Amino acid sequence: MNLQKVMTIVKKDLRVEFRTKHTINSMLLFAGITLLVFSYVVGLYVKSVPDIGPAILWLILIFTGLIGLSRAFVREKELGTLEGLRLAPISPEEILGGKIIYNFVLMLIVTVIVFPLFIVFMNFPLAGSALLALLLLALGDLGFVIVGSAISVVVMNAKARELLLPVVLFPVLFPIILLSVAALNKVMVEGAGFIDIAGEVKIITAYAGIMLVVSLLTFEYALEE
Amino acid sequence: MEFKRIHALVLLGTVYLMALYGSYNALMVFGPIESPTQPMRELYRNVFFHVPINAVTYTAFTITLIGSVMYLIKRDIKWDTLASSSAKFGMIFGTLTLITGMVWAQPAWGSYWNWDPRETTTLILWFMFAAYFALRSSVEDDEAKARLSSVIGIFAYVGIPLTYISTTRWFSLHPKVSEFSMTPEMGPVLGMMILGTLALFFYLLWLDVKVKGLKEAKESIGGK
Repeated sequence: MNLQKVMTIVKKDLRVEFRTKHTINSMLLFAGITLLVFSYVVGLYVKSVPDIGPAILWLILIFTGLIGLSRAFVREKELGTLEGLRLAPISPEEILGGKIIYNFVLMLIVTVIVFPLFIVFMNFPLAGSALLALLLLALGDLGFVIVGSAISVVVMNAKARELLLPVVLFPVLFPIILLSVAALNKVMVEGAGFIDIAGEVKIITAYAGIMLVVSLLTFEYALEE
Repeated sequence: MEFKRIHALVLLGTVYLMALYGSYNALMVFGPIESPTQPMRELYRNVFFHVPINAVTYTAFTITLIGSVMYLIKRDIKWDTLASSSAKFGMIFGTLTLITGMVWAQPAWGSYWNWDPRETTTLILWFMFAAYFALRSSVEDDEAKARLSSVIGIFAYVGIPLTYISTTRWFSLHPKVSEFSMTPEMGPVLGMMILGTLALFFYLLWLDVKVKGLKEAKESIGGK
């Protein structure tokens, strides 16, 4: 795997994206509107916001991420640039690596913008360190984009791919969703430090690592035509 | 190796004898057991049905993994047929696992659904393979269908141990469920039931693969 080629893919995708900013704008708008809806509904009917806050934050990020994921490869297919990508002297693993990093950058931008908005709109009494919560979210994002990038290629060739992506993705993502919310809850509600969430962080990291290996091994088969 | 009709008959006979022996013992011979929870004194008998069905579920999905990996290596559609047939019976037995587990959990643990790590893992497994079939039904080209569902089969299988680990961690605060201890004569009966149910699964798998093969042969000579 040549890191320079991986970065070429990342740069190409970022350049294409920031020419129009379609995907990132949609993601941010979607995150914003769901956040407002949650904030309004939860504020009206739920007595203790902190108990469900981290779960809501993480779900908003995951659903927002789905928008980005479904675009990353579909755009290549729609514009007909997928053939070019296949023909380019870049291995499938490098393409996947580039897409993962590109999706990760988008998710990080969304996370960094949504997190403060979440604190403000939900009127959330943050107990722990905001930096630790952000790092934890970034780790969860990483696990999410690794599995998501690989699986979005698989469903790219199916009919109704936008419908299929969450159906296929969520069961595989289950451990990440579970542990990220658990750890986030400890940090944001109980004010836990890094030591207290080390167990969750370890398993999330292991998950990301294992899934990265599986993705790299199977990606070649998913991409071929 | 060609799987002949005589093998299938042997399998079916094994299924019948083992299930008869196991069920007879489980329901008629064994008496109530000592258990701290009153309902378990009689309800423990479900173990002779629930555990074998569960064993088949996980065996089926392991065979799906093997079929998926072999398809990607060999590119022979037979492996994909094996993988998808096995996944189909895995889903049927998985559904039965969930139902027998829920019926058992209500009197034993207090509610039908408890988010116990084993329950959760089996449910997620069920969803993974439901997605496997959702994907298969929305890809038209046979080759692409086999290739893409093989990739998903591998992802789903790898996700299972991770799901189990994450749920045991998440539910570590929950009180431990009181288990019962089996008497020495129950072990072989349970073993018999597991083997018998596995034989049933292999028999069904053989039938399904055979039927699919015949259908393909018929299509290739232009029949409808």
